Amino acid sequence: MGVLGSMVRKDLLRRLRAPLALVVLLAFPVVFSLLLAVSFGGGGSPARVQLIVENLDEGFLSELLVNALRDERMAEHVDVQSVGQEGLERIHAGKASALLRIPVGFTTNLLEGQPITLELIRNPAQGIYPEIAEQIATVITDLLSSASFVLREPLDRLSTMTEGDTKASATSVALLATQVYEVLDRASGLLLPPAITLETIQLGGEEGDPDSATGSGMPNWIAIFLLVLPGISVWALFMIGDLGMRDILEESQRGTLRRQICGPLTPTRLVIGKACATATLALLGLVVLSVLGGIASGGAIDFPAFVVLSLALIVAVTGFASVISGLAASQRQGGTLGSVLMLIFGFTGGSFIPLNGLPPFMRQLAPFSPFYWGTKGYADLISESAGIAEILPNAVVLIVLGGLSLAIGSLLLTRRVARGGLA
Amino acid sequence: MIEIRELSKRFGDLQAVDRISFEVRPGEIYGLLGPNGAGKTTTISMLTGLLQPDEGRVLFQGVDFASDPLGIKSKLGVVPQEIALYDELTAKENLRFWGSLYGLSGSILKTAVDEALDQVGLTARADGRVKTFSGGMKRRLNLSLGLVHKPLVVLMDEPTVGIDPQARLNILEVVRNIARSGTTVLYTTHYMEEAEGLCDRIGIMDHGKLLAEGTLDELKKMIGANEVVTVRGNFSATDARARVEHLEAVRVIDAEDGRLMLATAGDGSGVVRLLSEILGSDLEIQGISIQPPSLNGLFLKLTGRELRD
Repeated sequence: MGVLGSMVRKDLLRRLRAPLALVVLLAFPVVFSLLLAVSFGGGGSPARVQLIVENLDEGFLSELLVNALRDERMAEHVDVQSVGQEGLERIHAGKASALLRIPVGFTTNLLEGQPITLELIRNPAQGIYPEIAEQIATVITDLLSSASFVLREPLDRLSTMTEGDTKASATSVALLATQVYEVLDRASGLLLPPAITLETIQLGGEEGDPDSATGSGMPNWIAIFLLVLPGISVWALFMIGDLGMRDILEESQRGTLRRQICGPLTPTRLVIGKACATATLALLGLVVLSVLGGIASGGAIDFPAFVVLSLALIVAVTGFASVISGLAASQRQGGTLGSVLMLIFGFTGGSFIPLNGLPPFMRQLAPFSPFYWGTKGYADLISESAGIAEILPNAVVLIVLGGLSLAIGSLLLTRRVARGGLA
Repeated sequence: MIEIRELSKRFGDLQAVDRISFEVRPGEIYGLLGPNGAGKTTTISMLTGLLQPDEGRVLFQGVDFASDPLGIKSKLGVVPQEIALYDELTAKENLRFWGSLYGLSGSILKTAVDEALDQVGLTARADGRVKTFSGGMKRRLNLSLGLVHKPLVVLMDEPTVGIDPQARLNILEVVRNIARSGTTVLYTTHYMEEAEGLCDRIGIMDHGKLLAEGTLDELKKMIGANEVVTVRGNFSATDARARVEHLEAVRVIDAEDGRLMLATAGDGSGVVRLLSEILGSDLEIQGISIQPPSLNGLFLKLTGRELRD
């Protein structure tokens, strides 16, 4: 084992003997991603909005409204139950998200074109669910309201037909049906395609099977885990790199750096040794996080592309960390500088918020963050099944950024060591 | 073995080392004695390449340090004042790392590590983590890291600072042993007793200057006194000085209110005259101490201050 090998071995041994910082940095992306996955993926079907309806009218149009709320497409999100006067008690007891009251005379007033007011009582204790209930009720009410205007004439005829005890003749019913058809036909240009549709939007912009966010049969929470993991892992790897390279400042403080400089080593070799140890540490972190990501994704990624991107990322991590250590005068200063820069680059580079969730101006800034190229590369590998050709630009940018920063950082550190600045 | 010629180093307004010159001969223990801030560590730092001298040269076996720093460094062993160890590693792992930095490997490294552990009496704790070691054990390991590659010259910068007397004796014994094996030692200390008991030759430093140099006997002769007498009491410096200044074979080293220090020369008659004069005077005397000539006395003579101040 040469001198560089000894330096790497020594640093890894030290890190493994006092592993708290490393373990925290490795655990953070997993825990953070899992928390988000469980919070938003739910580990199964999301909870439904509990909407209770107190129908005081019980005419056929109010029944139509209730049935519209019970539409099977809505049933996945809203549990609609008809109640009597105990509705308000259930709200107070926290057993429902909102209570919709359909007033007496709803059907009659709608047929006669009289204004109608529906009452929605929200339960503030149920977070966002009452808001969802209100939105749903508003949509249905608007639809009914619009329909009452468009179908005014047929509704008037229907009103006449329902008055008294006389049974409507087959001819009048047929005539009414024809009239409704003609009205709808004339209004079809306005109504169809429907002006309002309920669209299920999954995080990541995928549509389709609500139990399968990626359309590949993957449970929601795993999809969210894999969506968040690349970005936060890239952030963690940069932090691990910072931890490794900043060790040169710690060694300066401990006196072991001075002792090494007294030996037959050039400052350049010392810095290279620390950079090699940092790269090895980052590689170990990458392997651990990749195994977890691989297990979650079922290993369905292009392995050569993954290796290329990972090696490029390690170059970037090492280079970036060496610049921070080169600029910092002390370990504490390095820690502060590193944390601040990592946070800024993490936010702009999509580590904490998925890139497509960033506002437009931040998306324009994102390519200036080295984190972006890593995060996007891994996201493309996982969700787009990207290969080497697709991630090559990311790898090239990371290598160029990493190489440049490694050169600058090494120069700064070497000069300081040579001038006794770290001794 | 090592020649230091007109070496100087300045930090801003502070002249840390001021044109010092001395030579460390092969196989000897050369002590640099001086109080904290005298410039000892700065001198060692220039000898190890940690600091670049502003002026002067360092020659190792006749070769200028600046012309082959790595080659010379590979023959030096350095024991810094601070304990520079990796706490997370074991004693053996520390030694293996430092040995490998000097190019040792394989069975040679293993043997060197075992010998270094034995040398400082840490074989039984070879696989113990350093963080579990006592202060004295850490000091001993700190010393052994500078010896593991069997250097020709060992530079030791106050290696006994902050340890108990027993641990200090252990370390001094190790230093004597490595000197006996032919290794040259440059040893800095502010403990007068260490320099007196350990070093073959001693250089006395203060304020960046080398004030005196020689063997212990040579240095004591420089004091020009047989005894140093300290008189304490309730008197003014002026009165006390006036009483003794005229005495033959008695010289005032230092006088302040309540304390008078004097050097006596000759065959001991100076002490007798001094005591007769003082005890017969109206000075209010509370105590008198008589010490044989020492490095402290020399330091006092050279600087007007005690080494312990």
